[in-house]
Amino acid sequence: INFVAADDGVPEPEIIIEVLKGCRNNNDYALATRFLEVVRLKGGNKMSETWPYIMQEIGPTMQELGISTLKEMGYEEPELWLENVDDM
Amino acid sequence: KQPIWVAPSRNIALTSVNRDAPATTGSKAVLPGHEYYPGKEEYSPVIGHREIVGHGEIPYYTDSFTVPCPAIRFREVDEALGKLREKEKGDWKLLSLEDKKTLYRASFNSTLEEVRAPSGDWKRCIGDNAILMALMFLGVSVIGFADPQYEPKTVTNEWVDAQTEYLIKRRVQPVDGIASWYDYENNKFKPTWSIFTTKETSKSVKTLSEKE
Repeated sequence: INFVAADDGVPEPEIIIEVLKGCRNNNDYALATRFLEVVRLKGGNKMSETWPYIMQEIGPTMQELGISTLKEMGYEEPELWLENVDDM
Repeated sequence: KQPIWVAPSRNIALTSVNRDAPATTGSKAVLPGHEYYPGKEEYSPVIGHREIVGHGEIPYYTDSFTVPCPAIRFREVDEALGKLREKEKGDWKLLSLEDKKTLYRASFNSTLEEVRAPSGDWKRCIGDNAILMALMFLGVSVIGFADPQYEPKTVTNEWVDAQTEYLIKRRVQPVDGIASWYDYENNKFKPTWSIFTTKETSKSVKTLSEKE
């Protein structure tokens, strides 16, 4: 996943599906959500165009595996965001 | 298997445990399947009881967008977390939202969105700079204006008068500067020069007008 994140572009839906199946085989749910966050943020300034498209493509597989979307988890916005006291 | 990173000596490792202490969650029970994992003995003084998840990397936890998945989890294993892991092996549709969130927080400290969120560090930078500038101005005002012994000789009126005399004789800056403010026919300064004079410089104006 670190190598996919290092690439300069949003991964194809087929790659995403393979990664999610690998997470399922290793019984790691947190990794799947982290990977989805990475995919979303890879869009950069054009996140509003790429992310809905990707969600369309991988929606069925996510429902099969039982992974909930980032919006349901509330991870599209910072959840536990407090300014670090050292940084203020 | 050879370890990639050689563990340091015992004394250093023991002190580093206190500094790099992870978020311990209480008991240090280990999951039935995770009693041994590769690298446990080498890295456990530094990491604690956290699981190593990746391979080919040094197991150090970082939160960043460029390395999103570090080689170790964030939290140690508890009894409640052990039960969750057993549940995770089954169907993921049975996990509730709270379960999913605890699983995420067990592996990662913060979400990637939180990594991108503004930290407000600029306020500290500007504040520190303002304090330093204030100290600097304090020092200059206290030391620089205290004793006329410390002021340079180019500030005294004698020097300035000699300087103006020289400039007028050389007729420098005839368009916009000093020579344009001096009336060469009548040998005196034009009225606009009064802006630049004080009581002490008015003496030099008189001497210049008398000389020429």
